[in-house]
Amino acid sequence: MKKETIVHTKSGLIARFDSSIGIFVYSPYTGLIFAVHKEQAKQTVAWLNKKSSDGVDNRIRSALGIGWQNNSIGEYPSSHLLPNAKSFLTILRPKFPILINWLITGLCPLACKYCYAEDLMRIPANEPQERQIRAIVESILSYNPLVVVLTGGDPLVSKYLLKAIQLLHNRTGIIVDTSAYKFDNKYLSIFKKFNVAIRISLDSEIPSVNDKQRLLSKQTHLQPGRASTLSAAVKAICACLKKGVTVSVQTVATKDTANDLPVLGDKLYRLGLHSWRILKIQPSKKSLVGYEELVGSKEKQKKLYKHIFSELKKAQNNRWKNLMSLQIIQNERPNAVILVSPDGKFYTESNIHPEKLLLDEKIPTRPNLKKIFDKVGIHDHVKRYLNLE
Amino acid sequence: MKKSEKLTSLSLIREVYRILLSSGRTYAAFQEKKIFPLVESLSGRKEILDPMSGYGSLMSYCSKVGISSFGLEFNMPLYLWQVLNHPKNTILFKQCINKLHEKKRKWPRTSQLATVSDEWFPEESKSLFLGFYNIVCQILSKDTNNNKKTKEFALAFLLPFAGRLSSSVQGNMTTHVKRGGLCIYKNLVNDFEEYLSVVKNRLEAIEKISNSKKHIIILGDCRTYKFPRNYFSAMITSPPYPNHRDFSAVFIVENELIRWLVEDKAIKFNSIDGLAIGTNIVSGREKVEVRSEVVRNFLEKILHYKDPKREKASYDNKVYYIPYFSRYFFDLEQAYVNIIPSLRKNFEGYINVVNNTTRDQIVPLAQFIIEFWKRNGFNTEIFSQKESFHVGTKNPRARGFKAKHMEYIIKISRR
Repeated sequence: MKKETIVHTKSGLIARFDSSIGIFVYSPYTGLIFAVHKEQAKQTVAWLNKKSSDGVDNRIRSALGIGWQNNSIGEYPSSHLLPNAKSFLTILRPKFPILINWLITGLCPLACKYCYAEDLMRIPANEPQERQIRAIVESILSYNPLVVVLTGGDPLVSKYLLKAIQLLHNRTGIIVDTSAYKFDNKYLSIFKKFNVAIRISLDSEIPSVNDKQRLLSKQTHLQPGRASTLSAAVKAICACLKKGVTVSVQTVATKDTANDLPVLGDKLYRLGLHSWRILKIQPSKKSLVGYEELVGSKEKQKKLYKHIFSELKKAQNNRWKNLMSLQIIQNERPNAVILVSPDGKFYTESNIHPEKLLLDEKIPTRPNLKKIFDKVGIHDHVKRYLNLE
Repeated sequence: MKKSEKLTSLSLIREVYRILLSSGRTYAAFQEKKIFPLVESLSGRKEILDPMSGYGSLMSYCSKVGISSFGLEFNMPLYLWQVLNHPKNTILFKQCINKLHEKKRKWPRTSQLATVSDEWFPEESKSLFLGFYNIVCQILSKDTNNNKKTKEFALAFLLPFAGRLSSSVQGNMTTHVKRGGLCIYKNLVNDFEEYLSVVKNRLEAIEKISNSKKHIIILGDCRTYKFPRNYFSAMITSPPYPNHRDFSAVFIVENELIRWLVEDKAIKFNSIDGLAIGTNIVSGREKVEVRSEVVRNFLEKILHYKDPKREKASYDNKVYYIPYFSRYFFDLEQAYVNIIPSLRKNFEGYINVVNNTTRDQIVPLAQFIIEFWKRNGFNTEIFSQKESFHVGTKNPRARGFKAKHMEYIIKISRR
């Protein structure tokens, strides 16, 4: 494998070599990212290329074999360090970002109360033109990300979603983040064809609670057959599961939703979901006003999250780990992420004020790699995507 | 109730029924090691009464000893659980299971993997439930020859599974169930098959221990039911506990399904008016006066309870705690007053109660019972007492005095 380039293995999994770590692997069957220790890297890549599995640790086979070797049953370890966390003695410092979030559009049918991206959204002048799409793709891919998340706004309302997917296909892993409010079955064949994993947002299984946080934007008219933002999400999840499109659920935990999450987890498990991502709310410039209303006072917040996250981890370990992964994103260091705005500029979140920071003011659409790592907390970036928080 | 560690095919059945199906008892039911010896001691009596029969534990112990029992229950799902567990019905229900297997191709199915609803039951679930219900009715009708009984038995048979089709969310407390949620249909048929197997095991276990005599179970309200006069010579019972959780709310999902079935005319039941003893609904209810001195003193203390951390405490005392406890003890008095004429001269009975705490006071349930029965011409004595902690649904994380529970068995006999 050439250094730090993206390799599509015969198993369908995508790998990237990193001399100090080993390999990063993205599975389009689960939508999950793992790091494999360098002592296991060579034999793991051979195995992922459907050669011998000799010397590949069972824990690696169990976690990375899902979807191509052992169907859906395997082991979904809590830490995504393979064969285990103990093998990695030093802090991981990859040479390139693991994942880049591309807000392909600022348009969204929803106006979630906590939306962290709202300050980059709904600015008509920033919406990309078709000719910009290729340039943005090339710019993103120049950093060798293992995965590009197409997000927004809602990427399903972008005119250029298909074009972006086509341009990214076979060059990186692709994930689409959506509310699924505008989902229809035409996306199933696209996602299937291009190995796109879809992450659908759903905060509570109780429609009134979910829709109170995840409301329709004032410009969106209620669609027939989508009585609530929740029912649209559930319909899309079921459609993906039926067609074999990799689908996971993202949930923002607030004081109104947190206590019900273990029960929701049991249901998602029984539904056949393989990945569930829970995020603590991240305050952003435009959602600051309602922030405390959603999470409660600092004291209560601390108690609530501590209790519920511990319950969820216990549930994953005791009940879900053979079929479903659980990722908890605490968002303690907001600068763990790289965001590309609809107009192609690279940002991260500031750790000091809830606002977006341009990564390179001189060349905002293709920042210098060093400048990226000056502002993005690489350790927190790794923690976030390898489920180490 | 501790959540099971593994998610089995029954994991979408409501937890209260999962526990009942596996152990036959759950929260607030009699404990066999305490009650069974009492049943044995009364085995010379003709019949033992339990006017608040709950899950029907007394019926089960009486059947084991071979003595007749008479149970009256207010809450429909609990009554139907007794129908399913009645020793006389085991053969019928086992035959039903066998026939259901034969008719597996006719079981209702859905192409949906899941749905979401604001209601207790999504429309799809109602249709699926009716599908199962009609098949079970069809099977049972050949053996029961009574349309009303057929329907009641079919409902009793399916009710523990009904929650599998609900769109509800179990809250932290057993009594807290939220309306609306996801209903998962994936593997529904497999789950039903597993349910049949678990019910069959339960029926076989009942058969194995049964040494039956006549066991009467009736749906009714012990405050108003017309008991036969001068009839019972023995009673073992336990009132619902005043822990200001509405115990009947544990079965809100099943009660909502029954309400819908009645409205849809799929089944007919003689409805019971009023609210259960111990319900925490206070608003709009008539103000009542309790005769008991013990209770009056207790209410006086509650009225003067103050919490330095909560300014609202005095207001809560007046609008909730006083009406709640007054109503609870009043209802219990009414029930006992209604029961007394049915007790014979040689009557002997046991009441199992737990005193818990509220507003820095012990709720004097045992003392109230002793005072009431004495006043009405009975001998009373504390047969046994034991201090225990963390019993019931009331704040399982409580510590110290708040967690204190004193369990009593009070013996009552005619003077």
